[in-house]
Amino acid sequence: MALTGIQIFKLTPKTNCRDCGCPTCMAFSMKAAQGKAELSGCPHLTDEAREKLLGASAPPMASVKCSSPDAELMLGGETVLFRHDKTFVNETRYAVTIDTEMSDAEVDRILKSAAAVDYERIGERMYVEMIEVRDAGEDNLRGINAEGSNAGETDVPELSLRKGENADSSDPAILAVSSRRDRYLSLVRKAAATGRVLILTTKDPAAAQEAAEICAPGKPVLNAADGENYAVMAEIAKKYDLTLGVTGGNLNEIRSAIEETEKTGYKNLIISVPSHSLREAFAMTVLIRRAALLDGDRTFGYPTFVDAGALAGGDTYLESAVGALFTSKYGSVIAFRKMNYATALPLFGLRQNLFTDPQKPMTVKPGIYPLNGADENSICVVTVDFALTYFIVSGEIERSRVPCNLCITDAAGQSVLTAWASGKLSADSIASFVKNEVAPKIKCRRLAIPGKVTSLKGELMRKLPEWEILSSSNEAVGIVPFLKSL
Amino acid sequence: MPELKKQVFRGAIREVTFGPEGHRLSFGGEATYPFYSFDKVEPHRRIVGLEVLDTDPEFLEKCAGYDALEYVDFICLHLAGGDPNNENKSTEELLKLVENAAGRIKNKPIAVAGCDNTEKDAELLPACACALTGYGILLLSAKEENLEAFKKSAPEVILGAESSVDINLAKQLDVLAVQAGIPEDHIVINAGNAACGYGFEYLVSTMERIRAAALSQDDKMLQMPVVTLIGPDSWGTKEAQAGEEDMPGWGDRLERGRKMEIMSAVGVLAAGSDAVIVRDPVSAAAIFALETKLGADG
Ligand code: SF4
Repeated sequence: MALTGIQIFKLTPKTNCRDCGCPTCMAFSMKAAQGKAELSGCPHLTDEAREKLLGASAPPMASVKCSSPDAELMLGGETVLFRHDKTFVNETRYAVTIDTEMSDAEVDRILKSAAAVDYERIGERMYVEMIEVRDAGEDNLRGINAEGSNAGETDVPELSLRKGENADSSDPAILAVSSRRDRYLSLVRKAAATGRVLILTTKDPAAAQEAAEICAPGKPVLNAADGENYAVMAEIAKKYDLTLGVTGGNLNEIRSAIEETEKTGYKNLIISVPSHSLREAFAMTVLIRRAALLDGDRTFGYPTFVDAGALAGGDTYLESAVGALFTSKYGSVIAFRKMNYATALPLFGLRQNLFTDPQKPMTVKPGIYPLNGADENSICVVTVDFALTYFIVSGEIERSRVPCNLCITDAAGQSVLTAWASGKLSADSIASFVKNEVAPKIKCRRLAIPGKVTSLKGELMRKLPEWEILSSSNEAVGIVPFLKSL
Repeated sequence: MPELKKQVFRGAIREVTFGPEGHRLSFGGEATYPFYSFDKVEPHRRIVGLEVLDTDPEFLEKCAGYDALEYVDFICLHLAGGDPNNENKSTEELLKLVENAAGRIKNKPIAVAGCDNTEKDAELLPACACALTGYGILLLSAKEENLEAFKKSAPEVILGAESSVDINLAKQLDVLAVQAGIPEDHIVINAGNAACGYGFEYLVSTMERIRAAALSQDDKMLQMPVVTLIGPDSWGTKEAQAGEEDMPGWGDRLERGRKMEIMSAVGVLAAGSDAVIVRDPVSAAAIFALETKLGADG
């Protein structure tokens, strides 16, 4: 959304006073349009003009930051709708939800299962980055699920979450609120202790404020303000520098809630997509992103939060489907009710794939990967650093259960044949890799090369005279019989 | 407040129909990106097939059982055992199996997928088309190398044109199929398969580019519906294969495989696939539930 020189010129005083160092306002404007001059160079711009210019040069979708004392996450900041246009910017983040209606045992089980998911995949740490702490009773009190979900039911607040001994000594409604708040804050403490970034879903300002204190110096997401409570929630968000979730029952309500919140001067926002219908939630998530990126609609230029757990209604398989859908289409943060390895493995794999550079293949780090308990006396199998090749070859080697040192050489992320054709995989490149990286660490002197580049065998035998060079199978499926025949 | 803009395209995906009389199944026909019914209503739900492998000891029982599942749109007989590197079953043996299976499938259309050996498929699949005359099957796995062999089956069946994961190769194969005299509405695109985490980004971007070309550039040779076979790649991943004793932290193997299959299927559906074929009924049920909720106000 860059402005042209002429558009900038129109907003200057056109006095050619030279205070900016340029001979004319026009010259300054041209430089500014090319990014060669800062707007602050002209001291005579009116505030209004400055705001206009800054607004126009801002990216179409805000990037917002949230954190725990241990970690920091960036959300949003996307510039395109499809990954083939340009690399997506900030990966979708995943949360697991705990709420005030769960038993302690259930909360502990969920947190434990989520914490167990922590592994590395192609150089990236995969773990559940966020925990949503949800004040479940609030939904009933305020009816934020709006339009339809509670249709026909009257909004009866849950009055007796914890029947205290002194229940008769004060107003039961007030007591219920304060006991629910205690319950909420105890969950926040538990969640904060995990070191993950929190999402505080509550409409109780007092609870929100205390929860923010618990999280400090971390900056959790405060979720969610709506058309009624935005002022007080924005104040808390501002005070603690939190990302504020803004919501409404439909796009109109969401828009006006964002506009009202922005008017308070706070723009560190995330749009919390309501969960009353999957069809609506999907439509809103897509339309919000599309309006921001395609139509330059600034009001919708914020990341989104989607509650896959609520949308799936408790079915873990449906939840996986919903999670994959919103990972594909425009969820910035997605909350799950069940997060275990079975969910995480494909989900993180999907995300990692979608957020790669469309121009560059995924690669694994060159080096020696011992498989099936291989040691320095185990055979070496060499292949390229293209991630897909690595996965397929390592998978087959694991299937064979034969101990092998999988040696990954730098081939610019190309597949075996492509790398061979482009010269990235040659007798020279293999020989120097083996001499410099492999030979000092491995005693075994047997080296298997991909069957597709058998033609390199003769040259390799000359270049690596101490090594026995073997030619493996053409296709990955042949690796198992090849290794077993050795 | 201004209404949000709708995205309207020049092009639309062709509608394709297969299956026997009384159980005809149509899919495709949409003029929007996947599930964007807020732009324009999609005429058909994206369909879900269930894969049965000929190598499965319960092959026939599963055919009969799957036939009764309401969340399954069609059944795909996957003749992987015909591969000389697999069980190398003869064409005659497989034909008999296919005929028996068809006898058990009374309520749903049938798709047949080959063994991924180009030569064997060239013999096997047209023979299946012949054997199942009247069933109006969807015949997957015609490739550039063996397209010739599929020509004579064309008027009777819907042909899946399978290319590598590449928009140009997909288009080239469609052009060749049309030049070979196969009617355009008897062709579906099979632009390759992948599982989440394993080169899945190529598949997604290829499908999204195919869909973009079909809709915004009105490219007639890319307006065929897309069909994707999910099962083999997903269930072949380490995530689905590794035993619980090998990866103690990973938990239930079946749950891992199902979720890999579900997410891979949803990933391609969101990128433009009009039909997915999965291997586990639980996966099919989850995808059906997702689509039902996306279609209705639920
Ligand atoms: S300082 Fe501002 S007003 Fe003066 S010449 Fe530069 S652009 Fe024009």
